[in-house]
Amino acid sequence: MIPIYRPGSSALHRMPAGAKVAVLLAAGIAVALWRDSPWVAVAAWALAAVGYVLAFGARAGAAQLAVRMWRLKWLVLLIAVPQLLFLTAGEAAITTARILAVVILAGLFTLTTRVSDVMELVLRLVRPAERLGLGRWGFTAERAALAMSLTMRSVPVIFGFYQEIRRARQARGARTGPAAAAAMTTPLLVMTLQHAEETGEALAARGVR
Amino acid sequence: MGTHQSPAPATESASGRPAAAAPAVRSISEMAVFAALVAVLGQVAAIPLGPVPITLQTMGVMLAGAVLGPWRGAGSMLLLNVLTAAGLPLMAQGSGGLGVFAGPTAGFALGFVPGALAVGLIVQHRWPLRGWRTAAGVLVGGIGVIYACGIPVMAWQLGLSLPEAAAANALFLPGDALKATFAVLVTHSLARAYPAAFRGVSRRRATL
Repeated sequence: MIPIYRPGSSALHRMPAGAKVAVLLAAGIAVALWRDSPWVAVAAWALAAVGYVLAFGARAGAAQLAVRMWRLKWLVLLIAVPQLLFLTAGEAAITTARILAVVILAGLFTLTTRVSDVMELVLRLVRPAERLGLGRWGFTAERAALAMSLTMRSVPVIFGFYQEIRRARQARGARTGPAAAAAMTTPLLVMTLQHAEETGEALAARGVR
Repeated sequence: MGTHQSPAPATESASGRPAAAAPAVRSISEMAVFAALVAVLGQVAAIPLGPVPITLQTMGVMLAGAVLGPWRGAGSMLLLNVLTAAGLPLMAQGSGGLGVFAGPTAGFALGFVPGALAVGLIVQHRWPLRGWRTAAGVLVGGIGVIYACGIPVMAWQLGLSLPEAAAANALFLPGDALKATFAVLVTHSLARAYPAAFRGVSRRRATL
């Protein structure tokens, strides 16, 4: 599994994750407060463009922005179609531009922040909750960290199970389609649960409680 | 991510298995692999309905609640959301990162958590599972609760009224109804093939 993060050494890459979240939150709130003004959408787009150039340089930044936009094509459809049904084209254009600007800006956070840095930020929020009493319910930062790293490790394993089942079906000449997908889910689920059991036992054998 | 103490912790021995891993570690690994499973189901486009490819991701949410039960099911969906926010492409069609939570579909992704909780509460009300109860669970939790979280966020983001946003989402109902049907079938075939998986359900009867 390839994270969305793109390595770099820009000021945005070096900025602490918490500070970036704060800026993003402020931008999101500002855009939401003045949501009917086209100027807010323009300002958010300007901020996003400056951010992408700052993070990756002019050429690579523009390319990165184009890639992001292309990946959001379904979202654009999802935003635009209901609005065109119920609102005027002008309103739809402003709203679409506004939402896309915030999504693109949030994407910039993800492009410039390591997954491990965000996880560290999450754990920093979990630790006070643990002290405040959630720890008594078994909710500890240590376990949260274990759960997150296990999930990351499991995605390629389970995708491997899926491909294995699909290949076996193809070898038997089984049909493809929605019904086939459902038929594949039962063996996938059994393999997934057995993998969970084995992982749990392996961790317990290593003394993880 | 809590370590829910199941009401019947001794089901492993009841099914003839060796005493397995400590409950906490096993619950954590179950939540983790289910979060991963829902992520994988979101990458495999199964139902080409209209211009937007429909993935099996919400079927995974229903299965998380139906198989893991309310608390571990919700915990695994919380994991999925946290790791998506952390920048992994785990949501449908490889979308991920904080952008997911900035867009109009944020409510649907966050709704996976209470959705799986509701599915689990209804489906796993008691053992053995009943077809009508499983169907009610996936409909209420897997469609009702997720839409109830998703539609208001979408309406607010797009500046639509609630009925307008709901009408726009009706496009996805046939696909979701199909996924709910699959979820019921898969849950019951799993209950026959691998009953030990349902270790959280309170068992009124000793035999499986």
